[in-house]
Amino acid sequence: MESQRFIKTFNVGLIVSMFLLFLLGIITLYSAARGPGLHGLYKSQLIYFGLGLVMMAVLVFIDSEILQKVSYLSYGIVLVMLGLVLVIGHDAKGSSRWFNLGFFHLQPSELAKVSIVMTLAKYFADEKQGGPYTLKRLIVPAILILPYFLLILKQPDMGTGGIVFLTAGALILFVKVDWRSLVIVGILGVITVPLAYQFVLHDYQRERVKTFLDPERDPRDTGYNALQCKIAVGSGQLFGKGYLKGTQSQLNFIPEQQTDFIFSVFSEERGFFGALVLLVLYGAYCFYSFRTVARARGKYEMLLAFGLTAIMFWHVFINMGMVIGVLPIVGVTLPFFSYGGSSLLTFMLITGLLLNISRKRYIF
Amino acid sequence: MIGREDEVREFRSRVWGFQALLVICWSILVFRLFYLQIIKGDALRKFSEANRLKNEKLLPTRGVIFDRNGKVIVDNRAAFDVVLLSQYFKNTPDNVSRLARALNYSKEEMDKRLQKIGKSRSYIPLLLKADVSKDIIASIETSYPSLFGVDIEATVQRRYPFKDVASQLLGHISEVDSKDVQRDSRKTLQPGDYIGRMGLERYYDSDLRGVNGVGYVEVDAMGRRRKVEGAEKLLGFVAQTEPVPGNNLYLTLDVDLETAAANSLKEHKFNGSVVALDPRSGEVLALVNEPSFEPELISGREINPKVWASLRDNKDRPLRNRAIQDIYPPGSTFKLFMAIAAMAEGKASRQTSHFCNGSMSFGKRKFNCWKHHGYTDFVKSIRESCDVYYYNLGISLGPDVIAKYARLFGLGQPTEIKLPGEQRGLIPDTQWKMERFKDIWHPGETLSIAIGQGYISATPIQLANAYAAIGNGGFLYKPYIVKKIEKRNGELIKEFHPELKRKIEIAPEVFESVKDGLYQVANSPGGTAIVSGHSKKVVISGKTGTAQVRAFSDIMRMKCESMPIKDRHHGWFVGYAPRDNPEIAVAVIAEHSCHGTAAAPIVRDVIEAYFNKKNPPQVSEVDDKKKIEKVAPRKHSVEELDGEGGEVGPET
Repeated sequence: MESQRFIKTFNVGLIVSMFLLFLLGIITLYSAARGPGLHGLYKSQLIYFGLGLVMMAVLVFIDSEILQKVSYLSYGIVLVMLGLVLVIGHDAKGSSRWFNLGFFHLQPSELAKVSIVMTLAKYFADEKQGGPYTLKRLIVPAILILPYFLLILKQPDMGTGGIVFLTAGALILFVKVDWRSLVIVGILGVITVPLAYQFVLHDYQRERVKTFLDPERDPRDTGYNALQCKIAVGSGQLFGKGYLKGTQSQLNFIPEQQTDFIFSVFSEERGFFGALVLLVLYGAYCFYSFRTVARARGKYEMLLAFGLTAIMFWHVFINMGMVIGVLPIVGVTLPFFSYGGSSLLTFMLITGLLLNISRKRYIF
Repeated sequence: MIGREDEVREFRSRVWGFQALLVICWSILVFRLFYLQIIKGDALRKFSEANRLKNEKLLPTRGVIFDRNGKVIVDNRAAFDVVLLSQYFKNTPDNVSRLARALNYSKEEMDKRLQKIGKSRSYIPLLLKADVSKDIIASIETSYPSLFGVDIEATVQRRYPFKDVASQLLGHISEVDSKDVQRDSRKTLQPGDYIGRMGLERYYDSDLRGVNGVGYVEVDAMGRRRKVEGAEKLLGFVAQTEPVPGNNLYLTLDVDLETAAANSLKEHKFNGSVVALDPRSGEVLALVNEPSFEPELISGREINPKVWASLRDNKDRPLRNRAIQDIYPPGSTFKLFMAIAAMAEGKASRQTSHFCNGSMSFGKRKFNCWKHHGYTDFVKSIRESCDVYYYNLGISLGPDVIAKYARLFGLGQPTEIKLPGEQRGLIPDTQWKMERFKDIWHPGETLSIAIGQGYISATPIQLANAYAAIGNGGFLYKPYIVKKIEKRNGELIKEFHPELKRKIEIAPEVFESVKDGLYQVANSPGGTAIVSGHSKKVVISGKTGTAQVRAFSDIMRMKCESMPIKDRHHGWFVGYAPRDNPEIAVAVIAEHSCHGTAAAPIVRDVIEAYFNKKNPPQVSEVDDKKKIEKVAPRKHSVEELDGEGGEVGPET
């Protein structure tokens, strides 16, 4: 009886879509990482997946009361880590993003995404008055978000900083903002951004913004990546060039093709059809997590589930968008696809938390 | 239950709104994918299959170096490298042996090259052979299509048309290594760039180098580069940043004089150095070091390690810019500063006379002269280089006054010529002795200094510059070698003018007196260089000198020529011409030549070459000169031998 109920309440759709995504991901990773020095990356990715499964199994059975209680604690711990990583972090390509723990590179900015969602969920759940929120009542959440956002930008990691910002923004919209406040924020944004652009930024910073908005302005670096990705994706046509047969990726024309640009490898080899399948899978994952939101048993759980879903959604949309050239290039990984332990474990942590929440349904 | 029930219900309804947002975003992705893969797919597929677009660094051409008359002394030439794009190459024994034949490689050499395949990214061309001949290019071209992936790459090779002339001054270039890239504070260096390694190439590297450009190159399915029509249209933009060529240097150097000086030093079979300056400005006219090397051999994309090792490890140090980097005791050339000091301080006049009986006792020691000079006055002391005379001056002046005057003429301090690695030499005084050895100055040491031996040392350019200042009556210039820097299009960037370091405030009579002595050295009977330094063409003034290699050793008592070459003294001659308002000052050090008289003919050759160029000799004059050479072959006469200082006894 117990076990039947367990299966019934268990979010099978979420689990299945995660497994399928990881399966496609590891197969693509094998193809993307065949160059010198990359061989065997898929093996360590498998090990991380195993670790992630164990972590998920533990997470599922934690009482969400406990999660609620440690929300603010996690905020503090991650804040300290974000500060520390700037000082003693491992330097790579001019940015210090992770701690080298020997066996594992711990990237606190990955944890920051989850932690900010837990913190805001806790804050709004405890807020007895509820929405709609005026600007004045949003000051505390803003104070919570800002240090995370700035510390991550300082690394510098525009991609993750953007994800934190967008996720928190989605969560705040979700708890409902007073419409007048929304209008004020909108007008302020429209006024201050061009002014800051014109008078606050230095010349070279303005150049960067221009390049950021239009990568082809600077064909030496980012423009080159965008161009090669465009050729890779487009040349995949309807059914792709076939597994291990993507010339753009096999000949190493695409930089970072095992991490941020892995979608270009996939769509070169699998074509439009493959890309559609992938979008459907991510869509399914998001659909099941939205269902978790709708059926969550309490306000905290609901907000938490929503925030986690938002992380997932932004990652997929921004990553794919930048690969196919509808969004500027920023360093954002593709969930379950991109190589990297921190990234994979974060998305499995998110999945584990969603499973935990979906176990206990709303019982009104 | 936490939260209000109605609020939770409202949230639930809001989830639908966000799901709609997801559908919209996914639709954007799908439309874009459709556009790229279905509508543009065909064109992009063709592009990806037939061509590989590559962004490539475009190296700028390095600046050209001209001499004072506009002759090109360093420029660039086209060169061709054979490279391999390993992703296209079929590594079969047949192909490898065909490739080895085309490149003139032995099997081992070929295998060694091909071992590098797979160690770098496959789209980075692997260098097979740099700077190949036309024959090799032809045989590669005719081997198509069997040699897929083998390509000819046009590059630029630095060229030094005068071979080994002025090599240490010009320097050479080579590809940067990871250390250079790290050291580069301005972050302009990239792997594959070339930078100057020595001399002017190094000192003016940032002017000469230029700025890299970026271009797109299409690589076809066989690995060869080619231009694809409409590529820019398909990709929507033209991507090319032209490299900015380096700036050109115009030198004060006269390459003809430089060549004449180098040839003279070579003919006399000495290692050493020649520095020629214009005393009116400090312009460097020639700066020669022997032995030399050909910079082009070590400036290519590939440097033969054997060639490099033979230059680096050569005990004759061909890479060394002796003129500014090596210090030698100035020997008797230093007596001039003694003479000036003594007269300026009132310790001597033209009439001051000392008796020389071949040696002088001081304390418990005997200090020798190289000859019995008898009664010797001021001018004679210079003409015949009497050591005893200067022992006496040294005693009356003392080390600190001597040092003061030597420093006035720029000794013991850098001349500040804009070249890397200049040495400052050493002018010792009592304070230095105390700091260096924690010991007081011993009076006997003054006597060594007085004849330019002991702790004292100087570079050839310091002596040339100091004598230039004697010749021009006290104007000490900073020697300079670069006249101006111009952009490729002729736009002036920087111009350099004579820079006076100081006007030496000493009475003109003092200069006149020592100049009389210097004149007589090469022009009056008894002068130490009356044969070796005398010129029929122009009046040369100067001074011989001997730099001891192994001071205060018993070996010194041996005849110099019978010692092992490495222990023989160095010969100096420093002089200028003409006597009044000199136009050229020259310092020569002839290593292990035993006597200053060995260096004097080289100075004469340089000065004559300078004036021959200025006023080309009449045909009869040339004949006349040859006749004289025949009648009186130039040899060191016993009278001339200038062994001063060699006889300083061991200090007890």
